[in-house]
Amino acid sequence: MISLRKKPSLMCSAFFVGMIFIASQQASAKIRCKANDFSDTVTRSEVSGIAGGASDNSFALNSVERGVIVASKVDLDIQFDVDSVASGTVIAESVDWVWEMKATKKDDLRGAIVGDYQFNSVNGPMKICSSSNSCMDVVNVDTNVSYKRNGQGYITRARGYVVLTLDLSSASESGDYQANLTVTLHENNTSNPSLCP
Amino acid sequence: MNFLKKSVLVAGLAAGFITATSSQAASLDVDVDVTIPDVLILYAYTDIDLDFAAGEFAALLDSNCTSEDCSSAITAAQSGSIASGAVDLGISADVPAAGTTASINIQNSWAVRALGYGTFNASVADNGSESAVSNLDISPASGTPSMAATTGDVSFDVDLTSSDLDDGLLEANYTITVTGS
Repeated sequence: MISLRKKPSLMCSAFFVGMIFIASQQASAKIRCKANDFSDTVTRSEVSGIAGGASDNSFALNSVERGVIVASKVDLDIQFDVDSVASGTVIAESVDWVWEMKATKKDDLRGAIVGDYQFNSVNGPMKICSSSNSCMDVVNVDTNVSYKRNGQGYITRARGYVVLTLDLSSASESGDYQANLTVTLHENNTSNPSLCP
Repeated sequence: MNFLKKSVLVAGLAAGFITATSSQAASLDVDVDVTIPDVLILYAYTDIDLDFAAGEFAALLDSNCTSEDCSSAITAAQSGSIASGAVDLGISADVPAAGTTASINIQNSWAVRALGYGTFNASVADNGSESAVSNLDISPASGTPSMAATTGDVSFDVDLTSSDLDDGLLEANYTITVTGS
């Protein structure tokens, strides 16, 4: 009887070892993530909306402007035309990838990798600043993701290239603008769990 | 039965372990550096056609007029003596003094946007205006530029007695210069 009762216990131990093995295999299938610094130099042409690289430029609004003088004054409202030729935004694009994620088949990633981007500057979130007096607002973040997949469609590597749309209307200084960017990667949707360990 | 219970327990532990490893919150830190150059941009209209509103120009000449063709009654009683069938009332002495100068202010006709400059200075210089045009001025003459456009005015005086106005057209040509420092 005693030996008969020990048999299930042995079988159970074997099962347990087997499960631990499976569990440790899952745990070893770790996703690896890396980040690169984002660096870009915006050109004068991009800032001014005028072709050419000179620091000082005049921009002729060539269409005939018409107006009627009333009480010795006429208001031509050039602001409207300036806004139409210069949006006040620039595009900053990373030359190299900003984030990289490596995975294996065991990680079971077959969808799209999406990033959640949080900027933090001396003047608060979603700004890139040269000082507390001069900041650009981050109005949009686009990500171009390049994928490497195995034959079964599982992601083995994903690299994110970031394109920032920056609003310069609150900026007054030239030079270096800086911010810390925190990137969180998810599969398919930012509401899903973070992928990076 | 005991074996089944243990199996379920172990399977549950394993599943919990797997779940725990995949729900960690984590993120990547990136330093963002963007370099912005010095920029100073002057925007201005290069062809401006202006008309006076109805009655506006006549009012510059006679404040009693509100239309280009107006009559202005001189109500003071006149008296005179007819001699040789004629009498001279000397109306010129009673005609109100006509305006001789008008100021024209072209508001919001230029703009400047800049990065990297603490101050801008603006000036305007005549560039072949007709002689009836004088006293060109620009406003603001200085300011603190930013990427939000700072707009400005150009004004000048017009000599209403000048023959330049005989053809009904007055030309003012000027050059705006804005420098940053």
